[in-house]
Amino acid sequence: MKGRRIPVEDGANSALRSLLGSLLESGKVDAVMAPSRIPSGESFAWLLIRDPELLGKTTPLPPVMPVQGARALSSLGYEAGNPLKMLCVLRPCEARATIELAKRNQVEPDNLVLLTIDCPGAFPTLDYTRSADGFDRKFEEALRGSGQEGWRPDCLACTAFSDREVAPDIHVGRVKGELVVLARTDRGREVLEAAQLAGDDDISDWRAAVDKETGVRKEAKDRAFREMDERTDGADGLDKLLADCINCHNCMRVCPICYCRQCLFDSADAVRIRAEDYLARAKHRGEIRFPGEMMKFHLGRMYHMALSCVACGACEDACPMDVPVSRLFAFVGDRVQADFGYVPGRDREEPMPMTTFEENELHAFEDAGGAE
Amino acid sequence: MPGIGLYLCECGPNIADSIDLDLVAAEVEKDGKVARVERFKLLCSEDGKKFLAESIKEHGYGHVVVAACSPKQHQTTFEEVAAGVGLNPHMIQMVNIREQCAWMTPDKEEATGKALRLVRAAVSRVRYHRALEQKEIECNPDVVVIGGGTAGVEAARRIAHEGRKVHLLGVAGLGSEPGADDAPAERVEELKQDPLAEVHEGCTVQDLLGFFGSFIARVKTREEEEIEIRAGSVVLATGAKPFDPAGFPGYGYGMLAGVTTVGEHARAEDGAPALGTDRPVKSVAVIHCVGREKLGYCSGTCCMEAMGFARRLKQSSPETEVTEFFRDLCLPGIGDDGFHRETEELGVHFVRFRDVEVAQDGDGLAVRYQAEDGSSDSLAVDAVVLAVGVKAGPSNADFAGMLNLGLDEHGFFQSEHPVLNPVGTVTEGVFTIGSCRGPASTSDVLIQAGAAAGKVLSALVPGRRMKLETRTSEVADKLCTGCGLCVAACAYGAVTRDDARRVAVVNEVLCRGCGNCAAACPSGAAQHRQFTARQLDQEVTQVLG
Amino acid sequence: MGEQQPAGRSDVLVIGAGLAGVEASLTLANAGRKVYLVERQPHFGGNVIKSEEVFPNMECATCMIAPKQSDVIENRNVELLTLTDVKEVRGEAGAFEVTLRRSARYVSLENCIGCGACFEPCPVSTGNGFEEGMSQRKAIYVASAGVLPNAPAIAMGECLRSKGDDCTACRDACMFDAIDYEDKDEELTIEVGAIVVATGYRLGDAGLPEEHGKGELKNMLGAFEFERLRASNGPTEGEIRTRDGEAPKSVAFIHCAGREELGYCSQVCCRYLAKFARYAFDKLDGVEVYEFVREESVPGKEAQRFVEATLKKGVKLVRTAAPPKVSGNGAGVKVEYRANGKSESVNVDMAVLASTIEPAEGAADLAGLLGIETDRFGFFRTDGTEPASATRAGVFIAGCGTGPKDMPTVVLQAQAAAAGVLKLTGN
Repeated sequence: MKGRRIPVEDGANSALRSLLGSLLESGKVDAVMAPSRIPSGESFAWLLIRDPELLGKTTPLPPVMPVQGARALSSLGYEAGNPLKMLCVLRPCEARATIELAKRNQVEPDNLVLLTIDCPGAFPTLDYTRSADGFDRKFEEALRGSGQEGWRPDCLACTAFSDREVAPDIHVGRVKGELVVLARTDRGREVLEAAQLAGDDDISDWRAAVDKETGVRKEAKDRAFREMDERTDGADGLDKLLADCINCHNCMRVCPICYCRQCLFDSADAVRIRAEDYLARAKHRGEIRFPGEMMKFHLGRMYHMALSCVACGACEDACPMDVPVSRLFAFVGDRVQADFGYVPGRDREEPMPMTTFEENELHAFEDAGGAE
Repeated sequence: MPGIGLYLCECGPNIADSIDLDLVAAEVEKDGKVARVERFKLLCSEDGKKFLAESIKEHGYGHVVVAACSPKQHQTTFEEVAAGVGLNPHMIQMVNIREQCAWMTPDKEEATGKALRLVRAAVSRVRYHRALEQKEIECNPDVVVIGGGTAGVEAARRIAHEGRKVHLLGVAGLGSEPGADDAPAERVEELKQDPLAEVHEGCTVQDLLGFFGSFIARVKTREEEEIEIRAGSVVLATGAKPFDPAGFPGYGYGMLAGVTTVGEHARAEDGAPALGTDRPVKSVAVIHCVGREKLGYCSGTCCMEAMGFARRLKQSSPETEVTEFFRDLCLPGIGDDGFHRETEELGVHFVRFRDVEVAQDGDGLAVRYQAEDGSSDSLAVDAVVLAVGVKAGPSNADFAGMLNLGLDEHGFFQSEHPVLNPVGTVTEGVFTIGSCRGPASTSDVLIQAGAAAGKVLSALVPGRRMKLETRTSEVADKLCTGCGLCVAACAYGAVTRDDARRVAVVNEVLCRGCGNCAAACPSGAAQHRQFTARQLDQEVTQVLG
Repeated sequence: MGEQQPAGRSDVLVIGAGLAGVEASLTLANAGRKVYLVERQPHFGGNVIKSEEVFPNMECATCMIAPKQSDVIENRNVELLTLTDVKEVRGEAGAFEVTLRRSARYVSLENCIGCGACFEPCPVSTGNGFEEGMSQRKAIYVASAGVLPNAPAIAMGECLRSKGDDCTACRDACMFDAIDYEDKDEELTIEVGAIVVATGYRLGDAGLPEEHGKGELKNMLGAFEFERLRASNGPTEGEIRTRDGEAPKSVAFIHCAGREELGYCSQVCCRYLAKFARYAFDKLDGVEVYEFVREESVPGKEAQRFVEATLKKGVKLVRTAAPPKVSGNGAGVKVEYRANGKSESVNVDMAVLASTIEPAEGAADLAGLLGIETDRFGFFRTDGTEPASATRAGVFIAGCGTGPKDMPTVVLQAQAAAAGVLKLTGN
């Protein structure tokens, strides 16, 4: 596969801004969705930009991910359909989540051009806001090719940081001193050609670099999952892991895959334990800890979304109590996804395991002694 | 506020001796959720039912729990008692403390402990029951039969009756070979004369919409007119096609002179059939099991057809040597063994093969085969006739799409249940008969046509309104995000997505109350009316103690 | 069709409450007809409830049929009359008058709750026919655990009371006042518009040596015997064992055993013998399985795959032109056969011969009562192109009464018979 190499003179974000400008001016897209530093405070928000002049405000690859891009997209694309052809600038995990949401009719994929960028990672949002300058510098270093400290724990173990586990329209790789732009779909190619950014350059050095980094990340991931496996082992493993949780449901709120209008576990009707049951149980056992829905919430959420979990880490980032919820869900997600041979976000056409039934699945299960 | 009544049945000594019912009663009373706990020796007896009825009426309960035997035994009994005194039958919850507790363990403490949990679970749950009302709908007793071969015509004949009309659509371009599966002309004429039947020949089915009791078929007639036919039920009799041996060099079909199929001669007049060669024919080989390996199934009818052909051939020219090559002889019919014996007596030879090949041999042909013992042999013949199997027709996929039917791995229509409902499909009111659902002999076809008629005549009675299942699922618009997981989870096509409002909708006529949609829905928008999240949560919480 | 048949009476008599009778009854009941479902055994379900698992999906047969059986019991339109058979039939299509003969059960179906307390005290023990004689039952008995109705009957001929002894052991043990020694046989006359014959088949012994199952040939079994060994509610609770209680290390399944003698193929044996091979592989670790086959008769879209998948589990398939000769050899069975021109033999611990599907006991008598014809094999003859109609107007047939057929075809024919009834007697 070939691509187009673009030199980076003034930092990756500067080169990316130019790139976005060319793409918007090509006429093939009506608007660009990209992150931007907020005018006051120390964070980033999503902007929807139609005027190419205003692209200077964007930070296409920001040091933090306060709002998961797929979550932002689903709020945009849900009700009325999307009349604008939008170029969405996303981290690979955000694009993967977008694809998972599209499979669930929560995002209209037709008018979206997904552009992903090789991601070095992101910093914990709270850490960043307390010391933005320092982290900005660290990020610059990372974009130039060095520096591995301060990242969110999930980012260290992320093997999906490039384009291997995602299906965008355009991908922008980063290799020393250059950006590597490639089309991944016909639609992507169309946009690049119109912007005169299609290319035939050799990009094997970038591929090799990605392979190498993927190997490093894979080892980290295996280590992280082994740790999770040990920590959750035994009857109270999970209890201990979730001990600090205050059941605020932040993790669910920021999760891009959690798209329900009202979470089942926020519903007063469905699963909340009633006073009389608490009292009865307290009487029965002598004492009871309450409110008691925390474990049910986590396990329930896991059951609902683990097959599509892209390990983006938004949940852990938002947790006020530093519960390792993303690492837990990524671990469980990885295992259940492997059972079905499913990788969320990798392929737009790949049907979700929850909604497909293949007759031989049952026989495989039976033959493995599952029925006994 | 009407309270909850709890009834504990002793079932004679069966429950009373194995479970400490006093303890159960006392504990549940202390919980404070029930208005009253009462015991009775045998609730299912006439006295028991009378007692139950009077008690419910006297205390005005809004909900009732009966702890007794298996619901399979007496759920209906107690529901009827409730209905008899004006309590909606869905407000009753039965608990099985006999088979599931008393009869499971000799340990009284263990049995009592479990019974208590189950009773508590039922009491907690029943509070959230709703008085489900049974709905009825008008249904159209007419029937559309698609396919004018033997299956379709025979089904139409059996269905046409006072009070309902049957529309027979002979469809142009369907899978079967022209002439191969036509019903006898007199039968078709009879139908055309019948005022209760309407025959449309040579039409195209453009779409099939609706559901059981209320289908609409959009049809283009032979004269290019577009019409709509309304019916309560659809019977698909769209046939199949013969396996095509062309492209399999081992048979020589289409490549060597003198190779034909049995089907080509199906309606040959008496006298020598045209065997595809100008040479004088002194010996013929009839080869069975053509296509069997490739298709993966035995078509079950070709052996008899092949023998029938061999006999006709032998009878019209007795000097011709006729040899039948077969892998296995499939002779399931009661007279088939006799038929085979007679065929042998006529002088037809039978040779078993493991492998067979047809090759050019000088001016004629040779059948080269591997016999059962592994040895190779060859027979020189002047002509070869292939008995081919049956393959699913191409229109199956179209109809499956229109009506949400399943196709099996071979492309045939899938039965709702292979044993209990072979001509039924997962789509209520749609039946498939004849070779479109799998290889079928004439006898099979007639039986299937009759079966479809039986199902239809039984389910769609003119003037009778259709009672719908009460324990169905529903989707709360306010909570639904239109993600479509429930639509995919429903095996019966009962849940669809309203694209305009972006919510899922459950069709109560088609819903069978399996609850798959509710299980698939993450937000609780889809719920089974009698297994709501709230009800289940309460039940499970209490069972876990 | 076309001809105006008299509407006649709308009630229907269904004779036989096996798979066919149950299906025909429910189809008719759902159409609003009153159905008298008559069954000569004290329980219903026919032969299908004897199987543990059935082709093609190896589904539990009793579980599969249970909802239908529940439906029969609960359906307002079906009156199930067990221990009942037909004594006389008068009249004609649309207006039959039938005298039924109901044998005394000696147990009240209203009062009995099926607790089983009456079995233990009964002093009379005899072979259980349902279990093919492989276990015992008492004079007061249910055929097997789980049959419906869940109430016993007294086989008065075996009971001590019929021999003058005033034994009251069972009544004394009953806490529900359900046992009544004064119960009498009775006759009742019903008026129906149509009759459906669903009397099923007898699994015959053609091809099986007469002494099979005993003495030298004790480990030579017929089909139902093997089926009951595998049944979880059977005499060995599902364990396949020789008569000596051992797990066989080798089993031979022999096809076409009685086919020549009878003159027709029983149609279902190739499939059920493959099913039996699966039973053997499932329950017996390392067992050697032989199938002695003349033809693999596997019509239909599922049968071939089923048999091929079974063979792949390691079946030793031996094709013979004539069925092998089986004889006892001490503990097991010797199977002698000719294959590829040579005489061979093999010794196995157990041999199962394909039992044949033959007309049910009493079929000829019933045909006489109903005025319908039978064919040269004794099966009921059907009317030309109406495969569910007997040779007399108003009488329909469903199930193996017309000849061997598989379960789906039985169900279909029952539905077709119902169609015939509904059409004849007005809709």
